[in-house]
Order: sequence, then structure tokens, then C-alpha cells
Amino acid sequence: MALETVLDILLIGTLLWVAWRALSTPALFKGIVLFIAFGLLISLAWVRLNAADIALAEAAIGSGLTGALLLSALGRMRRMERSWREEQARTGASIPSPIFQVHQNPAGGQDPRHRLKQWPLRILTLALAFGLSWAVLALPSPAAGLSGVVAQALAESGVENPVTAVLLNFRGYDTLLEVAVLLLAVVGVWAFARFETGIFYNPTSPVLMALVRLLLPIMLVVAGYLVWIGAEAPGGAFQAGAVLGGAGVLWLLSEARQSGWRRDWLLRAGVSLGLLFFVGVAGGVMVGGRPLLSYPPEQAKNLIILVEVAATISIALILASLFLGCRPGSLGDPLPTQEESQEEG
Amino acid sequence: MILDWISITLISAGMVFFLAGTVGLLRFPDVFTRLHALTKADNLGLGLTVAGLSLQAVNLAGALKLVFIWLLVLAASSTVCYLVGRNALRQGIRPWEDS
Repeated sequence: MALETVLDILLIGTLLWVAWRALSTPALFKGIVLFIAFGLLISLAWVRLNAADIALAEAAIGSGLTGALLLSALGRMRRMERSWREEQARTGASIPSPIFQVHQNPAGGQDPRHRLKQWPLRILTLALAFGLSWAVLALPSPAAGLSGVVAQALAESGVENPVTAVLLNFRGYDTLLEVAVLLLAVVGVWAFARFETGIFYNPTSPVLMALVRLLLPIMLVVAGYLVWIGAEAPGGAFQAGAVLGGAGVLWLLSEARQSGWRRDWLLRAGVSLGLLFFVGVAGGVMVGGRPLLSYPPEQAKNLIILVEVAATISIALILASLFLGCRPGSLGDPLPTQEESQEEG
Repeated sequence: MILDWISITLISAGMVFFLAGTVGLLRFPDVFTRLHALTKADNLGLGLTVAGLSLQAVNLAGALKLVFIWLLVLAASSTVCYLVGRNALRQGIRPWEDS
């Protein structure tokens, strides 16, 4: 037991240190890389807590895809800043910076009042951390929780994995709202998208293309496996959707631009597929006079698999669209110049 | 029992390579030498760790899955290494010279 305690203490110490370094470093790229490393360490922590489903989801979405989103945002920011600098150098006028610059002292260095304003926030955050730790440590151990109740009702849920049973059957309403939130996120990004092109064309190399051709089929198989195995073992729609979304990001980073993604109705249908199927199933079971989302036990497994597959496709398309950032159907149009985007927004 | 000792030896050897890779990442003078150090960690470090862990696997399928993971990491990391090196050359970073 002592070895595991040492491992846990090392993990906690590393987590705290990486988190601090990720937040305190002024170099944005370093911060993003440390954030990705932090995500992987958190998924290790979830494994130590015996929550394999959450560890999978954290590694795929929290660390992988969010890291890719942050890196693409950073690249976009750098481009905007560089074109702004060129514009300023060319015209000589003082155009307001497209990137909101905070706490910039004209004399250089950080604004001293900003340092002072940080202190109440730091104290409040520390108080919150201590309060949460105290609350968690004050829980009875071993924690009773609802695992006994779930284990008893597992037979009529249609699946053997208690996490999937809770997520898709007993508390299916929460998962329905989660899928709706994801759809809202991508709709929000599309509504506010100022960019006509999603990602910047990087001259691709045959090495990258070879890797993509190798990895895409493997990722498809792994995603399908994760959806299917989610009924019995750690897995499920979100994890599979994240892997598939990663495959979509990989495809976008290769020569997807040439292949053209102009059938935007297909994309819009795809991202709404998960929510539509879920709402359809949730409402459809009401036909027999049952309350919302209560599946008949003999059909439960089929309905859960149906909803999970639809949700996987939707989540994958949503995550890839979030990475792309531009509206559907506009892939391949030229980037607007600074004046055009200022007239629009 | 003997299998455990072989596993421990293999994983410790893997850790040596990871340590060497990390020291190289921290101490080497430029991007290209650091990439060189990192690929040692990926290749041999992970390979030895996977070899040690696959001896502890429950069945052959588990061991093969671990080897498969190692092969995927090899493919991905070598491609990423190539892309980083190519990007560094494109940005004009010249290899470090012993002057």
C-alpha cells in the first residue's frame, strides 16, 4: 500500500506544479503545452480513482482536443497580430489591436495595480480549494454513494457497465442536455465566426499524408469499438466521439481543403443528428404511456446503442467543427483583409 | 516471480531512456538535437516499458494491444518529429554549430 501512496503523492505534487506553471508562464505556447500535459496527468488521477470512463474522456477531450483547439486559436492569434503589425507598419496609422491587450503599461512591464487586484482573487481561490478539500475529506469513507442502488437496477437497464447505465438510462436526461449543450456550442461558434477560412493552409508533406492514411482507419475502428464496448466496459459515446473528432481534426490538417467540404447541409444534419435521435427516442418511448426517457427493459439495449451511435457521430462532427472554426460551406474561401473584418464586426 | 524481475528490469531500462530523453530535452542547445533526444525516449524508452508490461499482461491479446500502442506512438512521434524539424528549417533556425 505504501507504494501506491507514494505514487499518489507524486501525482498530486506534479499536478499542482504543472497547473501552477501552466497558469504562471507568460509564453502562451508553453502554457498550452503544459495544459495538455496537465490533462494527461488528470486522466492518470482518474485512473487512480478507478474511473476509467472519465479518464478516457479526459485524455481524449480535455487534453487532446482542447489542446488542439487552444493551439489553433494561438496560431490564429499570431496571424492576426502579425497582419496587424504589417498593416500598422504599412499605413503608419495607429489601428486598435485586434487582440485585446490587457494590463499593458505604456512604459513597459506589468501594471502594478493589476498585481494588487490579483490578491483578493488568489485568496478567494485558495479558500475555495481548502473548502473543497475539507468537504471531500469529511465524507464518510468508504463512501456509500449510489453504487448499490445502481447495481440492483442494472439488470433492467439493458447494459452491464454501470456508468453507461447511469449516463444513458437512469440519468439520460442529463446526457440529453449535454448533447444539446455541445450543439449550442457549435451553433454559437458558427454565429460568431469572423473567419471565412477555418485553418490556415499549411503545405502538406507526404509524411503527414502517409500518417493520416495510416491513422484514420485505425481511429475509425477504435471509435466504433469504444461505442460498442461502452455497454460492458469503460467506453461510450463521448469517448468514441472524441476519438472520431480527433480523426476529423487530423483529416482537416491534411489535404481536406482540396477535397472540399462544401455540402454544408450534410454537416448541419450531422451535428444535429445526436440530439434529434436522443429527443426522438426520449419522446418515442412516451407513446406507450411511459414517462419521458424510460426505456422498456427489453428494448433498452437497442435504444441505448442507437442513441450512442448517433451521439458519437454528432460529437465527432461538433468537435471537428469547433477546431475548424469557420461556418459550414465556407472552407476554401480567401481570408478577409483587416478592413473587411472591421467593417463586418 | 522471475517474470516480475524481468519486468522490473525492462521497465527500469525504459525509465533510463526516458530520463536520458528528458535531460536531452532540457540541456541540448537547439531544436534538432532536442528532437533527437526525444525520439530516443519514445522509441526505446516506451518500447522497453511496453516489453516489461506485456509480460504482466493477463492474456496474449493484452500484450499485443500494448505492442500495438507502441507502434502507433512510434508512427505518430516520428511524423511529428519530422514535421517539427521541417518547420524549424522553414523558419530559418539553423542547426547548432560547435563554435
